[in-house]
Amino acid sequence: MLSRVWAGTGRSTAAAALGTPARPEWTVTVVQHEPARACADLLNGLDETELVRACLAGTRGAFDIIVERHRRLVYQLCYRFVSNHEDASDLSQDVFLRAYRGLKGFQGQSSLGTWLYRIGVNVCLNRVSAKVPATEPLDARPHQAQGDDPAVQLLRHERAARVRSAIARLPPKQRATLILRIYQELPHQEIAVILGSSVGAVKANFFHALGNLKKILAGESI
Amino acid sequence: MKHLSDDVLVDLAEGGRTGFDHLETCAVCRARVQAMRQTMGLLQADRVPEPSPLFWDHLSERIARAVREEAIPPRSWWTVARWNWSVAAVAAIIVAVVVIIPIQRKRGSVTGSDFSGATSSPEVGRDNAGNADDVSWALADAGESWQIVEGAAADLDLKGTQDAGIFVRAGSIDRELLMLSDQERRDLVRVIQVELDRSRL
Repeated sequence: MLSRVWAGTGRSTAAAALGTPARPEWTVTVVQHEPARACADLLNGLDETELVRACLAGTRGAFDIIVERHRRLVYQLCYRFVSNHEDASDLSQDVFLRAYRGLKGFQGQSSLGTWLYRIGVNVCLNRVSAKVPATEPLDARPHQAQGDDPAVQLLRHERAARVRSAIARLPPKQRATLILRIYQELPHQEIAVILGSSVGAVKANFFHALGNLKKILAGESI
Repeated sequence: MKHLSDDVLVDLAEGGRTGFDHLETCAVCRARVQAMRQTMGLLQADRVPEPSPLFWDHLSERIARAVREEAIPPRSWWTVARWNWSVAAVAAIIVAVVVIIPIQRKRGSVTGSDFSGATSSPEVGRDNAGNADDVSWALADAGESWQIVEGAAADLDLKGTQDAGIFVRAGSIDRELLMLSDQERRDLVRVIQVELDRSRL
């Protein structure tokens, strides 16, 4: 609910100069008081299903809560696919935008996180198939660990770059499986839901992904 | 010798299964599990760099902006239709009050205001409203039915009316409502009530 505040009176300058009886000029300010915070608290207390329902009912701020709860996992997933901050940010935005558009199709059969992962994997695979990801320069990486020997840091970053490059050369399903299992630490069952396959297929993909990765990395003598 | 299947090897490498005596006797399977563990260890050592703490709010803002710019809201057609109808109806009425009535008044088709129940002087809201107290007092003392109008105006989402393509200046609605005659107010209350009832259907 909004409360209104009458915010003062005044005479128009022109009217005062002409000496005509001035009509008051009223300014009404619409101020949103505590109820806004109460509304945010209320939304924060909702579970995923209720939040989705609130979004669909047009409740302002409900989708913001969904974003706030899942933005980190979505960003990290995207980063794993593109290996640079800028593209990962753009992809994260794209994932949430697609989620917003498709929210009415969310059936609640899986968790919202799983559903977002599914959108994320599709968005990322589409992007990486169309564009070779550019690994960001080492000095562009935010918040690097302080205090380490620069030589050790350099070695670590070079190794990480080779690993990422090797992952990028895996077939799409193996790559997605590996990222979801190793970096997002999801159980095989959930990965199967995200990728729309069976647990057996997920494990097989994971097995082959590790094998292929080993071969690629051995070829590069890491 | 029959070797372990891929999914069993995966479980063993991840430490999800134990008690396989086969590993003690089969060097091939043992080597496979060992190689998988080694590769996994190599992968796990690579962490996603943590972005700046400000980044998360910035990302949320970007997404919120993009969502606001979406042409199609994620609602079913009947929810959209009902919401738009109710907002547009109430907004249209209020805009009519703001725009049409002053024009009529200028043409002389509307005679002086009469705040019966609000004050003995009909001029309170018009010429004699020299300070804020007078105005708010006049509003507060208006008839009971007036509460509906006030409620509608207070609940009206200005952003919503703008989304519906109607732009009003802050304060103009209250000012014009204040200047209505008794009959005009009664008509307005009736029309708004009808529209609100219809929007609840």
